[in-house]
Amino acid sequence: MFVDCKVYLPAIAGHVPPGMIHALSAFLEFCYLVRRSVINEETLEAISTAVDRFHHERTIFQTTGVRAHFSLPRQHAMVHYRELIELFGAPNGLCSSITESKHIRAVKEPWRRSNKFDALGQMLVTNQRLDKLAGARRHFTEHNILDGPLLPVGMEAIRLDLDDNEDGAVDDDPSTYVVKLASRPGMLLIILILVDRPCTFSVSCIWDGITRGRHFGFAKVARRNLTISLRPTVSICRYSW
Amino acid sequence: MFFAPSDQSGVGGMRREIIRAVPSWRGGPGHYDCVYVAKGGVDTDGFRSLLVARVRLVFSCAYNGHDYSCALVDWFLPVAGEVCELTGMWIVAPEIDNQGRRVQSVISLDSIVRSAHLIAVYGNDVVPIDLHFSETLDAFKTYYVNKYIDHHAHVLAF
Repeated sequence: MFVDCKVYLPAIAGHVPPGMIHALSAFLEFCYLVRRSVINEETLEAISTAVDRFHHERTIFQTTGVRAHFSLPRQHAMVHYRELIELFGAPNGLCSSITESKHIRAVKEPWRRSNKFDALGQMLVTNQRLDKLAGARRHFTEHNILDGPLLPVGMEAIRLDLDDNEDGAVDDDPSTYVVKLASRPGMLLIILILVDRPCTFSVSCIWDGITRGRHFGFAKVARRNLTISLRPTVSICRYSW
Repeated sequence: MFFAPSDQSGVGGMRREIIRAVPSWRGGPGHYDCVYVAKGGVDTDGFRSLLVARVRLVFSCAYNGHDYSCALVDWFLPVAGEVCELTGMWIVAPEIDNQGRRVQSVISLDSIVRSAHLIAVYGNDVVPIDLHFSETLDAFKTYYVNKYIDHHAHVLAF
């Protein structure tokens, strides 16, 4: 609406009812007033006047039958500009299309995660959980909980050179390493593959001593050579007892 | 090209505008831009402190060891003392002397505020289909000073 009528307002003058021209000029007036970098009392008054004028003049679209109603969110938003400018300062050309890009994260992606049956409830739950996760992450970060390697208590982080064949053998391809299992009995190796984000990692537990019954579940993994794509940082933690 | 001061500087420096006055632009017809010219010596703000002109030639001359950057302009004058009641825009008409010629002046480039958008008052008749856009600024009797074209114009030409 804005982009079109800034040029065509003069072009349609005389061809549509004067009320429509008045409404559009009031609307444009409003747009440019709220866009200013500096807004003073005078500008605020002018904004209110422009909104009132627009609301008064736009009824022409109703009386001529162009529109049945004006329940349009963006037109409704106009009445809140003054108060919000007083509270938060000049929007200074902020584009409300920002909400359109939020639409992808807030609507489209949750929709894809849903099973498409009564999706609204599922989408709301998804958003709620994501918000809570984001809040928790923020809280943890503030309290330095996410600093350093995230290991269970009792573990010690060491860094191994991947060329060190004592605990793992490495082939030459820099992106794919065949990590051969540690041959020392009585040792649990946990390979943390650190990916780009600090606390997202996948853990492979490798258990070398088959005889240790309580970790038997890992034994099957242990007897295979694991082919793992590794990032440059590989921390191997050793837990001895 | 000049720097237009009503925007804050961005990462690319200040906002720039180009005012063209060329007999042929990109191999096509001539391109002569309109500008706001500061009146000077007036106590008003808004459009009352401005004049509108169309730049015909941009040149510089040396006199007494100083370089003077100048522009040859055709003037437009407001047709009324108030904005148009319908659109809220000023209406200007080409200034013509008593022999029917356009009134022209040489002005200093420093007095040019920024470029202006004039759009014809089309009236109720049909615009001839063979009217080329390059003739628009010569063909009509009156023009709106379009303060709605961008936010810079809106703070200048109210």
